[in-house]
Amino acid sequence: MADRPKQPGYWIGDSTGRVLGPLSLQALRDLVASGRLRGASRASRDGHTWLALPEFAEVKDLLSAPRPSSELELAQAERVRGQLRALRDLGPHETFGVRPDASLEELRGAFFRLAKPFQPDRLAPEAHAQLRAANAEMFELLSRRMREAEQRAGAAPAAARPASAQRLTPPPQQQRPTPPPPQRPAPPPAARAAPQPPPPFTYDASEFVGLQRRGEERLQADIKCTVRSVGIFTDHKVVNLSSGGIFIATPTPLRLGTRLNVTLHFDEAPGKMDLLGAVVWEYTLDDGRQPRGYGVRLDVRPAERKVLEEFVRKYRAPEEPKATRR
Amino acid sequence: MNARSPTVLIVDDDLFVRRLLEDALTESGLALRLLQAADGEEALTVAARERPEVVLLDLFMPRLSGLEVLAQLRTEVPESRVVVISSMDAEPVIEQALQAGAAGFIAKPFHPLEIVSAVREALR
Repeated sequence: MADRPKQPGYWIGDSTGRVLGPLSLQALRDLVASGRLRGASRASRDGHTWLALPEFAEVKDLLSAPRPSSELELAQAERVRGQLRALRDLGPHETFGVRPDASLEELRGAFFRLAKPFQPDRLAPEAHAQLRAANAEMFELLSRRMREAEQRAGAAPAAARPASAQRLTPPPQQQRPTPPPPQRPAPPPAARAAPQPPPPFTYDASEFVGLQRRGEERLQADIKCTVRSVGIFTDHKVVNLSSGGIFIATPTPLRLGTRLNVTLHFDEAPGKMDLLGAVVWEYTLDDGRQPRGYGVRLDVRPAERKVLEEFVRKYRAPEEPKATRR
Repeated sequence: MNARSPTVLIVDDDLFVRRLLEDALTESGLALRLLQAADGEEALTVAARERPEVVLLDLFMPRLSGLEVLAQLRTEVPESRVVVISSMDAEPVIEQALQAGAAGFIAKPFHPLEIVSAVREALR
């Protein structure tokens, strides 16, 4: 697509084509200095001509600046500990600096504002252990105060467990293929236990989500779904649509546990479907018994499952009739 | 005639984040119609067609920056309230987003209740 004219200002970008701009010079420098530029590798003065970030004159000094000294970080840690001592005997409202009659919503807002600077992700990986510990203590104290506030208000809002906790089945330990176990049919719905209500929020660091951490990058897998490839949903005895997965025949090496962004492409509606997946099974022997490939467990929502089941119903080859005895 | 539930458009190039936001709002008990867009161009197309009451907008996205999308939304869909959700939370960036008309700014990583609260506030 043709380049749009860009507003004046600075721009940052990464190798996948993501961009942010137009930014003021101060904004650019603050982002570089803060270490919040995850993945950003280049910058531009006009949004069109790009330079590698280390070569960008406006931020070279920041990139080559030495990291904070141990003494500085120890002083920061001591300041946080001083704040902790001051907060130790205060109740939730005093801790968060709100009126005694403040609503739970106001308390939560104050908690999020005060706690976020102490989140573990805020510190560079090389930050001094004392500073990490002090920040963690402060975050825990603030979380505790928030839980107290909820208990006093008698409200513990039902939690959606963080999606990161709902993610896909951990990969099996084996690296070599083993014969798949016989598939057990799913119990009828009436026989399943009633779903437990989700636990209340704890406000601890694990409930804060949405930041992709180093090592959590996902590979992109584009899969064309046609009458010829419908078997990816049905052929495998273990990893199939019924169990929430697909089997992809491919010689491309993938490690168990690899996270994937899976895009299924259809010739008809819905056109495409974006799903999250993870590699949970592999068959890498070239023994002719079955194709080399990988079982991918998919995170499929009910409406998406319906679409896929309809696709399989429409295109799956009818089974061969069994021979009858006379 | 049934009143249409308020529409929230979730804009982020990361499918995982879109799912997280969708989950937070689905579990909130708010009656909402949730739409998604994976980049700025799709967001503008969907917003022009669906006129969402609220847009949750990432900043660092392919081809079209979230700040550019914000500026266009303020012009083309002025009734939408835009809440920026981004890890790029340096003070000047937050100020720039708010001056450009964002109704709020939530730094990643976010808590589900932050999102619910922001959407509730934006719908008031």
